[in-house]
Amino acid sequence: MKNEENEFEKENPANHAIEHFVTNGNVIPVDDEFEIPDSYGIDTLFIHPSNNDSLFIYWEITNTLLYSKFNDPADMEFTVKIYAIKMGEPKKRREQEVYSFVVKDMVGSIYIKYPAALKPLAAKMGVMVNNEFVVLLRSKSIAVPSFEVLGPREDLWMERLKDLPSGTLINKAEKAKEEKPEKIEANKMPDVKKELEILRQFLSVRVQDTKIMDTFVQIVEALRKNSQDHAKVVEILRHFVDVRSKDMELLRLLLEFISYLLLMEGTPIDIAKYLKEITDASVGSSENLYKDEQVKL
Amino acid sequence: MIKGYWMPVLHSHLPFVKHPEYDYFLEEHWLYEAISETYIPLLMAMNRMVEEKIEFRLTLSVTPPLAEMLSDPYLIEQFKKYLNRLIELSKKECLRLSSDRENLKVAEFYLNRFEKIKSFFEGFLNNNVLNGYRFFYEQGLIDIITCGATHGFLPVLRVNKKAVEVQIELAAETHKKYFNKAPEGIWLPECAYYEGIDEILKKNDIKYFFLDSHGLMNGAPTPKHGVYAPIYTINGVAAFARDPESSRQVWSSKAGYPGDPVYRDFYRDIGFDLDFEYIKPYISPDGKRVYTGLKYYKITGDGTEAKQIYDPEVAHAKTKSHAWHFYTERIKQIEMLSGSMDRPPVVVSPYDAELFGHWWFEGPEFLYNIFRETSQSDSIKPVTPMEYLGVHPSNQVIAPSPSSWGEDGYYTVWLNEGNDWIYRHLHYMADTLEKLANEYKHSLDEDSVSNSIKRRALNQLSRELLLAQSSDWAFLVTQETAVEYSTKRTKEHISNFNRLLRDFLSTGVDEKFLEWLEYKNSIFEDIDFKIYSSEYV
Repeated sequence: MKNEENEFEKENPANHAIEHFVTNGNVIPVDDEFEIPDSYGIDTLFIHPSNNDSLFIYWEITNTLLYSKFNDPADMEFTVKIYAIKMGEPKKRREQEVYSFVVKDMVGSIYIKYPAALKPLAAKMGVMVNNEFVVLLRSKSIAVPSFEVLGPREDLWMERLKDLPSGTLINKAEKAKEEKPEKIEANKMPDVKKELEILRQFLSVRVQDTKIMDTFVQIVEALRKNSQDHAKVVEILRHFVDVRSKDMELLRLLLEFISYLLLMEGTPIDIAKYLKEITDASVGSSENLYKDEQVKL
Repeated sequence: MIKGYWMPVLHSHLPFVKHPEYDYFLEEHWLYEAISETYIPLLMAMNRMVEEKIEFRLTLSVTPPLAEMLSDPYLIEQFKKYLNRLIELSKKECLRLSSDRENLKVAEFYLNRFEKIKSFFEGFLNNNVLNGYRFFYEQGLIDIITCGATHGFLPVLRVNKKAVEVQIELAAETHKKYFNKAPEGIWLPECAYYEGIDEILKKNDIKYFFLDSHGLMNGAPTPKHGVYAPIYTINGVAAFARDPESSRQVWSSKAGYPGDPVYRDFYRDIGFDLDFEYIKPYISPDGKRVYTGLKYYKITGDGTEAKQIYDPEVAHAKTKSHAWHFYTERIKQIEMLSGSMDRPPVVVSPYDAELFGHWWFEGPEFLYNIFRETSQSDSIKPVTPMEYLGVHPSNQVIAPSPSSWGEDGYYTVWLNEGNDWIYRHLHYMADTLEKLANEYKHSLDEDSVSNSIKRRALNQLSRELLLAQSSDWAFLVTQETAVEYSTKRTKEHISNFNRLLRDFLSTGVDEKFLEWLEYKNSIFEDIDFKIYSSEYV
């Protein structure tokens, strides 16, 4: 439905208050009033732009979560912090706090004015304890690939060929010299779908096992309350999680980088070489991959 | 020599409205009015152009809810009754006005028109409007594109990626079901774009979509040809952007053609004007006055009083001069643009289909007259997106900006203080259904009565979620139009979902309730809840 100033769209408000039930006996009585819950007993935080300069945030925080973190959470005030996500920055510097406010309700919503509302953002909700922000909830961040934020090169053009499932990138300057566009033959294109798929699967596995390790850390930390002997195990697991986190970040960057390379004219960098190393790495250890990528990037 | 192209795009959509629990339901009339005033007149105009060998090209979305309603046996029967009532009322009007020459001419015009529509519906269309769309689609004269499965407002749903994926996947499946081939293009619900949606489109082999002008112009980098050439997103999906000038000529109430004083007035209707006892059988059974479709006045001037009698012949002649004006303006526009472009520009003109015929009664005739001009032109040709991409496959790569075709250009129309309460529920429902789909995707495969009921319950949970996601409810609340109905519909699907879920997880499903929902909220009869699972292919 289009929304513009247009008298043709301003129909009279419709009101269906017709109380005539059909005479068919098979029809069950119709409940015309519908009750819906105010909340769902879940812990959730949502942030989304409503406009280019305003954000909508809603949250629900449960007593279960509060009592698991605090002895006396009654009358607690909650702080909501909003972070701009700086794509391409190292993880520690990636999130930059840009806005914060305090709320009292465990279930609520709010609009705030923020001039860069369409940029990648995330929110955290927590409690300030002795000037420290104890995070209780984190919103799902709206992931925006960095090339979407930065935009491709100005002279990047793409040509769609009938027999190829997706577009092929060509160079605009070179193309301008030719009278007719040169069709790039399918068999000259580097077929990297398989390699990219391997990389994606690899990343997916890494994400999953890192989550599992994270759970281990939590379990061992819980055990640690009873005994100090597990400190070493915790340390090893933490190290493992850290390495995996770096792996994943590296893989994500590589995926993005390869996608970008494929968009460039003449494959100036030896993609095949890269892909071979990545494919090899996907069956090798994470440590090797990490070292390898450090050299490459 | 062809100097440029014109790409008319009509977005045909209505939310799924079906109320078999009532003999008469006002909101069901949205569909019947759209069929008799827009869809059939447009198809009749296309048929006429084929007969007269007038070359035309149209890109038309038929959204999944609309396709489902146009094929629903119950709604088809209701439409036939509606059309017969219109014919009966027109005959009655011819008798009532037998001594009033001026008004009688209009009444006879309506009787003749409704009888032609009925004959076209029962004959050429064989009682199903989709037959007409299929006919012209198969001939390559129109390109039918899809939309979100239930016109969900995708940017705000994306917090659960599966929710967006299902909106697109199910839309593509529904398109194949009704049109026998996969859709090549999509009209994103509310023309709403966000970064990353193109990846989901590509996954579903959708080759192009549309953007509002600023969605492209605010993209990065700035497009070399503005909105007059398509671009590719980084994922290789083509995007065509709306031309503001040709849009304004039709949309604007001040500068637009539909506001011309000779055209038929939308608001003056005998449902409101005539004696209550006389009109009673043709309005709402509770006595509420409604539009009947018989309108005797032309726009004339400001306000609704002192209107002059509508003259169909004069209005018809006006569509010719307006079409000529539109055509010559496009020629001027294209000539101006082609000086600075290395290829013929394409002017993309998207409109709500229901504008033509329903709101602007003479709209289909206007379109017919434009095609009559373009078919004789050496300078401008109507074109579909795939035809244009076939001739000009090389296009700039741009990352478009988040945008919609709503009032502020972004998301406020569908996310504001009047309707934001909806999303908490939609997000919870999508997360819950995704979890359930993953949990039960294999465990209910074995054939048993109990498993069958559970599968049906999960399928109905999917339908209730999809119906609640329709962007129309949030839109209507913002527009303060049908607010009560829109709110009730949203709450109904949320409530149905929660009741079914509670039963599913605890005491067992109330089969009678389930059967009722399957009958009433019957959209996507073949849906499989597994579409929400992570391994769905």
